Amino acid sequence: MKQHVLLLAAVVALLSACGPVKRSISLKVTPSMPPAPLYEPFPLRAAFSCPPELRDHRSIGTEQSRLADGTLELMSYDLDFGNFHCRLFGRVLRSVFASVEATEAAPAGDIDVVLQPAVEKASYGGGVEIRYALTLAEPGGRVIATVRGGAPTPAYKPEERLFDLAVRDAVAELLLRLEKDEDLAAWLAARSITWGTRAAS
Amino acid sequence: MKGLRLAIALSFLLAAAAAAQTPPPVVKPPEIPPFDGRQGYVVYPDTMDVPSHEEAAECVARALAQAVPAARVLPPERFRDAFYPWMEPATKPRNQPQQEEWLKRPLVQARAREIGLRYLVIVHGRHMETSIGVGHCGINPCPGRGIFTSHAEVSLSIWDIEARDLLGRAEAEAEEKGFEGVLVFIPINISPDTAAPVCAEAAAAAAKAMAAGTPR
Repeated sequence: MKQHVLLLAAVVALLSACGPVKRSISLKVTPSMPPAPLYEPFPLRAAFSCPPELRDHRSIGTEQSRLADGTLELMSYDLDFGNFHCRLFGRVLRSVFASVEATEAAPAGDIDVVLQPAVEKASYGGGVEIRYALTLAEPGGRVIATVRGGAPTPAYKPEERLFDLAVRDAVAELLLRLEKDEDLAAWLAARSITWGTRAAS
Repeated sequence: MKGLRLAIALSFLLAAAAAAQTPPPVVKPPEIPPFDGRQGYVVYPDTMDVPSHEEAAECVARALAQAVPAARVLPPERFRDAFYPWMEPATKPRNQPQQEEWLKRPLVQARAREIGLRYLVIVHGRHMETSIGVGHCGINPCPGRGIFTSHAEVSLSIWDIEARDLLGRAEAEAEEKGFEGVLVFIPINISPDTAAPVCAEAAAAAAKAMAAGTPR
């Protein structure tokens, strides 16, 4: 019996030794703003209203990753972005549309599209991952297109730049997908709005 | 006792053999006709998520700056910012047709003129070390590593932004032996700098391509 107990204790000890390393982190995150995009603006008058959930954005979750030495890590994170995403989209979208009107209420009359950004993921653990979505809708509410951008930023990058790189990469991908989006292209074509001199030589 | 003497003698022989095969590389600045120094260039890693590409780009940039000291060099970070969002890991052109299409964009051409950028050198690099002993053991020098082989390779593609054209490609590689271990309680680490001569060779080819310019 004593031998069985010892064996069981040894097995439990072994299993717990093989389990993931648990860590937790709480961060106030203010990444650097990406540079102004080199982008041919869409000839559209846009209204941008930052959704309430992004005005004081907090991302809480757990991310599992494998460390360089093979250990499994379970990272619990609490990321406080504050108003960062609203400032980010407010600034970036000004380079993407002919005019952008920041509005708290329903958009006024002379508006072609309403822009609705969202944070689909903001995680920390084995690197940083930020994923954005941007929905373009008609003033009446009909959705024209939704584009997404974002990818994990590898952990080997300098720790203090992980969020900067994740944000700039997510925004970059979002902007390029917006440019290539077929739903938006069809919507523009249906309204005889010409845009895109990028391939002209 | 006889066995210990034999082991020490053998270790000395191995270290001497490794050292004999790895003379310190002499990197001479290659002779290159100077190209128009007002037309700047940038050396950029093929993929920013791959450390070996970033290291190779830095190595080639150093060699190129040595080869053509008069030319204007744009730091890669400035290039990346100036052409945001086109040169990020998720958005960078992946192949020659995509690169050509990107260079045709009027905004890209205008920005390149604005910042005085003519050439883009994209670097793809690989550096491997293989040993018959243990690879790494957390101590430097690693006592059980022994003789190892260092292999470095670099490939470049050189673009003329103004001409929207690929000027050429260059490749260079080298392999050398090194030794890492402990001999008679003395730690020894003879690590060849395999990458430096490879970068110098590739940089020389890039500088020649830029000096020649694009045939019109």
